[in-house]
Amino acid sequence: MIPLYLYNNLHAGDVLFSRPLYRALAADGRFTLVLGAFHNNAYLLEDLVGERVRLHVSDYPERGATVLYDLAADCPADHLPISTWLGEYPDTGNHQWRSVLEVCRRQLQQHGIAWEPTPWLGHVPMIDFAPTASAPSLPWPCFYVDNGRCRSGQSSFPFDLDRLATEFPDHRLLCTAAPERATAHVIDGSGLDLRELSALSERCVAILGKGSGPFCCTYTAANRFRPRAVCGYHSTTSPTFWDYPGNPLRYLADMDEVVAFLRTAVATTAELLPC
Amino acid sequence: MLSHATRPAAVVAGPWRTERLADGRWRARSPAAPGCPLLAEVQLWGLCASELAAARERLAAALPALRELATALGRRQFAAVAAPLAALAASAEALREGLLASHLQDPGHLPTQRALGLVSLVAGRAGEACFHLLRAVPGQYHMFAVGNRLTQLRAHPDAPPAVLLAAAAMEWLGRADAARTLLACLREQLDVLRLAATCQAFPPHVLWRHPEVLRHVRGVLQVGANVGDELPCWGALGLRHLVAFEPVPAAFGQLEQAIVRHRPAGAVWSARPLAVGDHVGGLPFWVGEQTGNSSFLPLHPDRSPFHQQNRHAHRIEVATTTLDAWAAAEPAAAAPCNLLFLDVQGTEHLVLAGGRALLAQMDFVVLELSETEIYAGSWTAEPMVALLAGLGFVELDRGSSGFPEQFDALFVRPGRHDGGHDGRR
Repeated sequence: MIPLYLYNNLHAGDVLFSRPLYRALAADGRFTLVLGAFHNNAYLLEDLVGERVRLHVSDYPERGATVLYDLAADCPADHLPISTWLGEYPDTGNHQWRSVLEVCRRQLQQHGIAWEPTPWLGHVPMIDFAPTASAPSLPWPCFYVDNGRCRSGQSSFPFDLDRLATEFPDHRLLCTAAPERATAHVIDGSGLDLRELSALSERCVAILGKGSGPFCCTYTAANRFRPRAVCGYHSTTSPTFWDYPGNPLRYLADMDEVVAFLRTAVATTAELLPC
Repeated sequence: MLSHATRPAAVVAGPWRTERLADGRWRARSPAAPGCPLLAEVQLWGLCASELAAARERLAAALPALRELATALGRRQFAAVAAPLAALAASAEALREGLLASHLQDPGHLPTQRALGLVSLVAGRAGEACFHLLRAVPGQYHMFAVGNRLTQLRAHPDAPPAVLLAAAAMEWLGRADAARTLLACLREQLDVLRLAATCQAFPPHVLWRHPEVLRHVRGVLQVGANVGDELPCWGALGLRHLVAFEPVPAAFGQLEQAIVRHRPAGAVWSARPLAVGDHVGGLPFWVGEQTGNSSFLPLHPDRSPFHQQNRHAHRIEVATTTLDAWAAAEPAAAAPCNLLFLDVQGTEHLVLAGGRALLAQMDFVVLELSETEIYAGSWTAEPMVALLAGLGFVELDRGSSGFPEQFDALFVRPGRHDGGHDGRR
């Protein structure tokens, strides 16, 4: 078995999209894995621990804009370090499954290991967590609104929660960050972790976000075809977001487009019940 | 005389300074240590006075040994490392805990990060030690500075002792390759700093603002050298190879004298009484009232007001060559040159047209860009930049040449001046 030390020094969203890769490597059969994680993000990986996968929890936290520590420094002496950050190479920055695989393939190649990711390319996986019992209940119908600050700066879209409440009086808004003003329509999800938000997103009519961690965590199998949109999104390194056949993702520029998008989502899912 | 192992590493002056900040946090700062500037002032943070007091007592007891360790490593006196290591071993983990908490409160405080690096080293956390000692090098800005990814160090006057400490720690930890890479970076930094200091005495020019480029210049091909205004600078920089072209006889005479005056010992400098253009032979050449304004091209009748006083005095017949024809005739003189320095009054496009083959060996091009057509038929900045882009050069910087619509510009071939890069960010 080849011992690998896998780590991602960036934010929670980046770590989340490393999860399918860790699963793929664990399933390969040739590798044993140590997953390096900042202590405040380690919970995003703990359900992956198993026979061939161990978790190394760093004493250092992940703190957004400033990278305080290089998890590579904790690589066990007999393990091969693999950084799964998509920014490792100038041409792999796009947030796509093929980029995740390519970043890993190149580093394995540098270590002298031939790893052909082609078999994994055919199906774009989602980031699913193991089921958690800690997520609270959620009223139906509800929209998921990732309204927090984007730490990587890819969107600063200001969601007009009052307008959403006016336009969709029967719907509640699950907000991932504390809203400026508490109203009957708004459910404050700022105290929930990404596993819990991920679970709750599966009980929403539609998902709105900016491309940050609380949006990435909604990319579960149950949400594969659920209406979703990123708002005010712009990124030169990753102009598109986790694409796959049938991907319902829309890129919206303003609140008018958001309202129109939600109207369509409500109309098409009127007959659906929550998962 | 005391041996190094028993000599105090630093004289500790004054008491610890403890204060409560407006946000309620407590901070304690160690006394200065004139003999150990790398750990001059280590700081500890705490949420309450009692918590801070315990960490401060622990660090105060350990600081002399930590400074002794820093001094011994910095001097690569590895035999002297054993004593402070032994003194610190028992308290290393507790020290690390306090320093780590404090580092997270103020990650930009380099002496504290350095202390954390040293304590991590004592605690047997090699990777963590290397990371912090490297991160605590002033001026380094690379996001993840570990292992073989050490080539992104920026020149900083305070960096050398910190780099030496980090490299020695790496060597001591058995990471000789990483230490060698780091020391190579330091040598590059020192070269850049030396060149930057030299350039400070030069008259303003965009090229002198880039010591990191000058470091990689092996030889200069200067076309339109006039009387040799740049030669004192080339001499001060220690340039080994220079070939200068100047067709105006009066200017050429002064150029030859300047070569004799400023050429460093052993350097190969020479001049050719030739104009350089897009064909070999002869051409009429306008001589300016100031020889520096001489050109193949007549002045544009509608040139900008800033150039109305620029006048041509008379016309002479000059011998012309092309860069490629010259290089074919004198390959040994051409071979070392990797910087093309043009000052040819609007005929840059002709020089480049006649030098396509030779340009392939050039890493850098310096020329004048103009937003307006000062000479009839000269190229303005936009097509010139596009031409150079097509030849593989990108504009690194531009600086004023004394006229509002004119600039001296520095073009580089990507990757030729900023150190190695393994393709990873």
